[in-house]
Amino acid sequence: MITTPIGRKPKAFTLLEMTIALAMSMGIAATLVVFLQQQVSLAQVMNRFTFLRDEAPQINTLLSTIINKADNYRIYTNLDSAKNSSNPVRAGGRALRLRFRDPDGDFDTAIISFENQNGSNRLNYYLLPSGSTTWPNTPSWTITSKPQLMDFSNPDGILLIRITGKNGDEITYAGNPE
Amino acid sequence: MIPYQQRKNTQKGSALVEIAFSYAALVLVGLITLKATYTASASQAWTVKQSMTDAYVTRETALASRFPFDEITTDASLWALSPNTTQSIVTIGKMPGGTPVEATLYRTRIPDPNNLVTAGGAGTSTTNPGATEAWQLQSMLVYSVTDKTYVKTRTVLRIR
Repeated sequence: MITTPIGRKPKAFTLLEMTIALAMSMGIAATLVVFLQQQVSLAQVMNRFTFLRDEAPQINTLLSTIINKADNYRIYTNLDSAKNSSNPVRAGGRALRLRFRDPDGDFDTAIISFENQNGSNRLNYYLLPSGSTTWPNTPSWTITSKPQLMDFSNPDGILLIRITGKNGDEITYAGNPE
Repeated sequence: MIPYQQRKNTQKGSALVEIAFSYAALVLVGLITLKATYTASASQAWTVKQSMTDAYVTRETALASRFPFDEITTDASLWALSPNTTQSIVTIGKMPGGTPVEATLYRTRIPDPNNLVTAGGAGTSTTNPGATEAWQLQSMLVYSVTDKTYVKTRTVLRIR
């Protein structure tokens, strides 16, 4: 049996003390939860800007490097039209057909096509070397699979490439062959 | 020597002060974190808008380089004769979430001083026997990030 010395209070907490302690603990816990939510929000904010901050400029750099080497370009609504050189358009393009002059005077032809392949949106590059007449069925390489949509247009003599990310973010680059 | 009962009361009071300081410290940390979130978001927006405006002025440079010369100098030109300017609100992109980013585009064209009088200059057949015509096509893009306003400008020289 536990006894308390005479003149001393028992070494235990009262109900009121426990209630206050619990309330304070809950307050601190709630504050920590708010902190955690803030960190999650911060991470989400950083993540939402990733496409425009990192991906889109890299895509533009790659496309500029490719397009600047071309002699000319034509815009088509899809890959098949680009392969067949049929019905070029000035707006709403999903495929860009490029012609490159080789050192020996021949021409290579390439198509940059935005298409859905294997369930994901991809910007693919198809190459038809000089002397070949049949386009490959599979792309030579995939430039990127990050954009949700890519649109090629030429409203006023300038090639415009509009890149849309998965969060509805969008940026338009201008690119022209030399 | 402090009597036992009095010392105990002092300890209880100090506990309350400590708790109050703890809460104050938590609130301070919370405010700092909130500010950090806002700063991070603003810096991201700043970076992204730099990319968008860079892309737009590049487009302006390309347009000014390729626009037909005869149409540059007409009254309906996209580049008004300086000191006048053409002004338009342009959408330069969209932020995450689809919110359009708008900017104000000003364009003006400045004749070379040695252009002939008919081409906006003060040159004569003596100073400009070849009747060379040169124009500076200037585009200014004015945009805002948070509460600050920025200007980017590109000038293209066209000669014929």
